[in-house]
Amino acid sequence: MKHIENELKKRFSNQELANDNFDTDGLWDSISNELDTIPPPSNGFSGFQKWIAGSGFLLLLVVLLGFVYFKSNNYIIIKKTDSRYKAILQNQQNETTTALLNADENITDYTEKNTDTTGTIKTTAQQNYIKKHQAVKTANTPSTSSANPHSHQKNKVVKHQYLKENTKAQPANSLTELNTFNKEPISLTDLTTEAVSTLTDESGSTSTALKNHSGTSATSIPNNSNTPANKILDTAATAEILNKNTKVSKQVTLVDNTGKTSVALLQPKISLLKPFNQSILSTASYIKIIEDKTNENPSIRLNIGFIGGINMLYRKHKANIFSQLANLKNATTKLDAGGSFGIQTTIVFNNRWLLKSGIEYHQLWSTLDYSEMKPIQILKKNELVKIAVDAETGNVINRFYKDTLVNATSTRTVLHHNKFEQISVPFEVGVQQNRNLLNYSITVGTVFNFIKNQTGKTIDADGEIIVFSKNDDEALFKPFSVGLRISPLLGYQFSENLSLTLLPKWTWSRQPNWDVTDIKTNVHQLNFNVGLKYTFK
Amino acid sequence: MNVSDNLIESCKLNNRKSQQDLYKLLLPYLRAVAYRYLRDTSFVKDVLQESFVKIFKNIHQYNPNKAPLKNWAAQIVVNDCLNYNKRIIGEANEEFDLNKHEIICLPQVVEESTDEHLLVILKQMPVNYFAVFNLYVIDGYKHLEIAKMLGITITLSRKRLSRAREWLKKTFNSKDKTDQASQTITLPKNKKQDETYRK
Repeated sequence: MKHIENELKKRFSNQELANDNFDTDGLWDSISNELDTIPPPSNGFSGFQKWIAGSGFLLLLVVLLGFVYFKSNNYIIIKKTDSRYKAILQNQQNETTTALLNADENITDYTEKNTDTTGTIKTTAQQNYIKKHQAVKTANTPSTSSANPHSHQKNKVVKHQYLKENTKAQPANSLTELNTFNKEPISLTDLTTEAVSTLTDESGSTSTALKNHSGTSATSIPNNSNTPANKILDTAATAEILNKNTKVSKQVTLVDNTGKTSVALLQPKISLLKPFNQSILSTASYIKIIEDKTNENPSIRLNIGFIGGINMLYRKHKANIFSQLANLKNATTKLDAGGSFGIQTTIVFNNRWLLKSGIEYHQLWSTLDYSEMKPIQILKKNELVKIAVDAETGNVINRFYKDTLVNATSTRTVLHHNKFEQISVPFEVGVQQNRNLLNYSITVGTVFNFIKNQTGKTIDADGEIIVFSKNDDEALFKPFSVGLRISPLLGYQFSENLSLTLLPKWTWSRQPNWDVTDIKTNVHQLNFNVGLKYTFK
Repeated sequence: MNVSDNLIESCKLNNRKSQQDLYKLLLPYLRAVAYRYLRDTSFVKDVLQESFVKIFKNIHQYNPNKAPLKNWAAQIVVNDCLNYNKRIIGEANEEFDLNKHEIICLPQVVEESTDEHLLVILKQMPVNYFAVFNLYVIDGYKHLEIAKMLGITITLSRKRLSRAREWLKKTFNSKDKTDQASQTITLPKNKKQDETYRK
């Protein structure tokens, strides 16, 4: 046998046929005409690579923006050119501004603390001031409701102005005292719950009394001591905030552009009483207001999760003209299971609204289960067929079967598993609900599907079983498609940042076939995933 | 056949003149490949047209470090031929049983036969076996590559090759049929075959 194979290989492996009797030019014309209709190939990335790169870049951008926003949202910067900055300076210089600190009753107002529904401490004077600004509806008008996180930043500005308006009433040496105050941490250990501070200002002497919860004065400090009254006041306010353990207590720091001078306002509404250095505002090109959100629920959070699980692919075909073929395809296409994994990022707004994206890899499978019986004719055993052979060329000219054939039935069965590799990039929006350690959410959106590879068998327009690969006309998936997705999620938080998630997904897309038929395919993809979610706090 | 790098680079830039030069260089070999693989040789021109368009369209993907251009182009032609065979004949999934089917050909002495004559005989081999035989024996593909090209398993590829060899053996060494086919038999040069023939 070996010599036959060797002989065949020798003859045919590098065989070339002379072009003597072949219509070489005619074939070239046909090729050339066809090439004219095809755009020249690009030397860069393929379409698929561009889509992947584009989607990846978009995804990275979303994640990056979310991360930067999440990390940087704890301060605002007011530039010198900002109208708010000018307003602050103007108020600073306004001689007619009410000097709230000069009057005893006003001081009392400051120390009358009000706690709103979210636990924020307010002073009456501050509330009045904010209300006044609300009435005139200026650009910096804040909302007095501390519970509304959207009004938070504007509130800061008004409070800032409020601070400036009261600065004039402060003693001349307040800057020195202020700086001293800022450098020295204050011990709060002796301060108790329900601490109330009072200030008196009579004949230039100021004293501060701190009371404990029983109403007994715990500390009394005269103005001629080294500690300024406002320092004690701030201390008292801070003590109150800490002891009440309010959820939205904030630390606000004003920083000038030199970075040398900073004013720590331990609780903004009370700390407004503290004298403020005019030179900070007059020399600074911007003011940076920093909020410490460590005790606060952030309005924006970022979650990153890893998911994996199984998927099921189901294809439903529909057609008007080729309805029989569509029915045949439906009858021969069976469900099959595959695997998926991916990474997904979620931006949570106000602990309720979700913006979800990510990248997923799916290995999908479907089964072609085809069976056909058809009559055929086969040769009888031991029967010979007469043939006519060209004596010169050896070609068989004719065959004479006559009674050598017998009727039979041929049964053809094809069971083939078609394989698809798909990369998906979803963009979804949704809503979530937290209950104790459980987290429920549902998101809907679009999914961009990129077919990385596909091989298998299908039925072509002639009803024949054919093999397809990635870019064939008969391939079951187009290289790119857009689908719709709905995905509920159930999460269980088992540590401060980590949650275990269970997230089924249903994705639907519709694809017209590339072949000559009018068949359209509804592609349903079900995913059952489990995952691990990390929340940045 | 030597295809210069400059010619390939020029074809990548869609230079029509260079494409025509490459076409003329490749055509004799690719025609032979198409004639060998196609069951119905009347489609040779169609297949070659389709293949050459694919070659020029995808020539920027060709990597000279992996294989000569001739082989890369031949693979495209082979794939197209196999697809054509499937379309024309339909894929016969049932396995060929030599005991049920008589071979409608005459035993030949390989060395004395013309290429055309040999091809006529080979093409009477069941289509699935013929494809694997062609790819493995003549073109030197491995079973893994054949399996990928034909969409079959490696085991099935081996099985078909084995059946193809069985078919060849029966075809070329059948003593009984030698006598009945005296019209087309040429004298063997091989001593062993000569003895067999004389019996």
